[in-house]
Amino acid sequence: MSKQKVLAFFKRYKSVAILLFLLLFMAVVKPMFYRPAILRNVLLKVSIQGIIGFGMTFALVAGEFDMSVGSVLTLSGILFATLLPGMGFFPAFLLTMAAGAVMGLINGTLVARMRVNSFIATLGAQYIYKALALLISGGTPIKADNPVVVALSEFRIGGNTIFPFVFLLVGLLSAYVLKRTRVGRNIYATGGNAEVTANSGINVKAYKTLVFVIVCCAAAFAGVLMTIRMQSATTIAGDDTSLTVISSVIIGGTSPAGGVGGAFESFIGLLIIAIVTSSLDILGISGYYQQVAQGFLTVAIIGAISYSNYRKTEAL
Amino acid sequence: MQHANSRWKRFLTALPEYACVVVLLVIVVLAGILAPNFFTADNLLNVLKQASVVCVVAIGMGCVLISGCMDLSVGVIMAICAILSMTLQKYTGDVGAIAITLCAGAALGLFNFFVVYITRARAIEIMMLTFGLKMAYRGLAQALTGNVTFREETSPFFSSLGKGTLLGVPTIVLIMLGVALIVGVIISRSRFGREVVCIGNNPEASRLSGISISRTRLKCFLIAGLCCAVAGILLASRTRAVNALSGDGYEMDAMCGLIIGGYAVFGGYGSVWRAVLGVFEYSAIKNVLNLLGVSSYGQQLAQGVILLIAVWGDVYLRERRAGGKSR
Repeated sequence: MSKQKVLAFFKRYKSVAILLFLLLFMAVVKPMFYRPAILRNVLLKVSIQGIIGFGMTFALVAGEFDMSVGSVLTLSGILFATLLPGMGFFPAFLLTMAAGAVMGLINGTLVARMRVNSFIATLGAQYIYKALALLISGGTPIKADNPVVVALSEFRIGGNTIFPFVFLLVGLLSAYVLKRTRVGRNIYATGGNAEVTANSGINVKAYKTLVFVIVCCAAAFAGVLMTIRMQSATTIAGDDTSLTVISSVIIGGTSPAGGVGGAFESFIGLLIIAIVTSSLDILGISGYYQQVAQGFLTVAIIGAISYSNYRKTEAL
Repeated sequence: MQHANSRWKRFLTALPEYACVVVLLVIVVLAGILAPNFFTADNLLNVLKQASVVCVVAIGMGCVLISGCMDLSVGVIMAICAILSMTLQKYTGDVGAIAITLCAGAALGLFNFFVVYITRARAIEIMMLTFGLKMAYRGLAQALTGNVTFREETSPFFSSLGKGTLLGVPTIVLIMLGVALIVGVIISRSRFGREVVCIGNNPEASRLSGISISRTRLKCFLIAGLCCAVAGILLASRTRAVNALSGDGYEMDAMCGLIIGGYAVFGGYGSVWRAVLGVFEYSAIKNVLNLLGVSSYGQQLAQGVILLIAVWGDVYLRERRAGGKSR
C-alpha cells in the first residue's frame, strides 16, 4: 500500500488512528493489558453492549437517537427471566424479542408519526420501560437457571464465551444490511436528507420506524444475552448503557446528524470505548472517576464533532 | 354563524398558549373526583412546599430553554450547591456560605456555557454535551465526598429558609416566588429578555439584527446556575441531609414541568409563570398518585407517560397552529 493510500485510509477512518494510539499507549504504560485473560475480558465487555451499538448505528445513520436502549435491555432481561420457568427457552426468547419489537414500534411511532423529537421521546420512553421492569420484578433480581441458559452461559469456544462470536455475527449482518441491501441504502438516504428522500418516493416514516424497531430488537437481544451471561436479570443491568453505546458509535465516525457512518466504524468505536474503560480499570482508577472520565469523554467527542460540523457549514 | 365560527377558530389558535390552564382544570376536576383529600389546606401547602425547589430549578432552566439551549446538568449542580452550603456554613457563617454557594452555582453554569460555546454545539448536541457534563459532575461529587450523606447542625437562620414560615406562608414558597418575580421581570420586561426569546426563535435573524447570541446565552446559563444554587440552599435547609445523589432526576422533573407549562422544547417560547404553573401541576399529579396509593414504580411510569403526552401535545398544538405544516 502506498503512503497516499494509507493517509487516505486514516483520513476516512480517523477512529482507527485513535484505536492504534490507545493500543500503543497501553503497550508502553501497562504491557499487562496484553495478557489473554484481559483481552478476553475486553471482548466480553464490548460484545453485549456492542450488539446494541450495531442497532444504534441504524438509528444514527437515519438521523435519530434512541436513549431508551438501556431500559429496553433491562426490561427484556427481566421479561426473559420471568417467562423462562413457565414456557422454556425458545418461546421465552421469541416473546422477549417480540416485546423488543413492540417497544421499537412505540418509539418509532412517537418519532416518525407523532413527530416528537427522538431524544426527548426516547428519554420519556426510558422511564416507562424501566418502571415496567421494576413493576414486573418488584425491584429484586430474578434468577435464570434454565438448563439451556446455564449450558449457553458456560459454553466455551477455545476459551472464549459465545458472546464475542454473537457480537461479530451481528456486526457482519448489520454491515451487510447497511451496505449491500436496498433497505440499507434507503436508511442512508433517509438520514442524509429526509425531504429529498420522501420526494423521491421512499416512505421515510416507515424507515424511521424501522430503525427504532431494529435498535430495540438489538437491545432486547442484548438483554437476553445479559441474562444468559449472568444467569440472572437485574433492574440495573442497562442503567448506563444508552450513553455508552451512543458515544461509542459516534466516536467511531457515525454522525448523529445522519447519513454518514456504518457498522465497521461502530465496531472500531465500540472497541475504543471498551479499551478505555478496561484501561481505567487496569490503571486502578475508581468507579466514580471512571464515571467522570466517561462524562468528559462524551463531552470531548460530541464537542469535537459539533465543532467540525460548524466548520463544515462555515466553509460553505 | 360566520362570526361564531371565527371566534371558535380564534379560540383554537389561542388554545396552545393556554393548554397549561386547561391541564390545571383537568387536574382539579380529576383530583376532586378521585382523591377529595387533595383539597385539604395541609395537602395543598405540602404540594407547594415540595414543588418549590424543583420550581426554582425550572425557572433557571427555563431561561436556557427559551434561548434555544438545554441544560441537563442542573440537578447535579443543585446537589453540589446543597452540599457546599451545608458544609461551609460551619466555617464561614450563613452569609459566607450562601455567597460562596451562589458563586459556585454561577461558575458551574458558566462552565457549561463555555463548553457549549467553544464547541459551537446546536440543539441535540447541546443536550448530549450537558448530559455528559452531568455524568462528570456527578462522578466528581461522589468521588470528592466519598458518597457520604451530610447531616450538619444548621443555624436557625439557615433552617428557617426551608422550614420556617413568614406570616403563615412557608418561607420556601416566598423565596421561590421572589426568584420567579425577579427572573420573570428580567425575561418579560427587559431588553435582555426579548433578546433571549429572539435568539431562541431564530438565531440567524437575531445575529443579523445585531444581537450577540453568545453574550445572551452566557447570561441565561448564569441565571440557571444561580437558580440551581438557590435551589440547593433551599434543599439543604429543608431536608437537612444531602449527598451527591440528592438532585438526581430533578432536571427531568423540571423539564416535565416546563413542557407542561407550555415552553417550546427547542426554544423561543416561554415565560416564568408557565414554569411555576407547570411544575405545580406536575407535582400535583404526583401528589394525587401518592394519595391514591400508587407505588413509586407506578409513579415513575406515570412520569414517563406525562412527559411523552406533554411533548407530543406541544408538537401537535404547534403544528395545528402553523397550519398543519411539519416542523
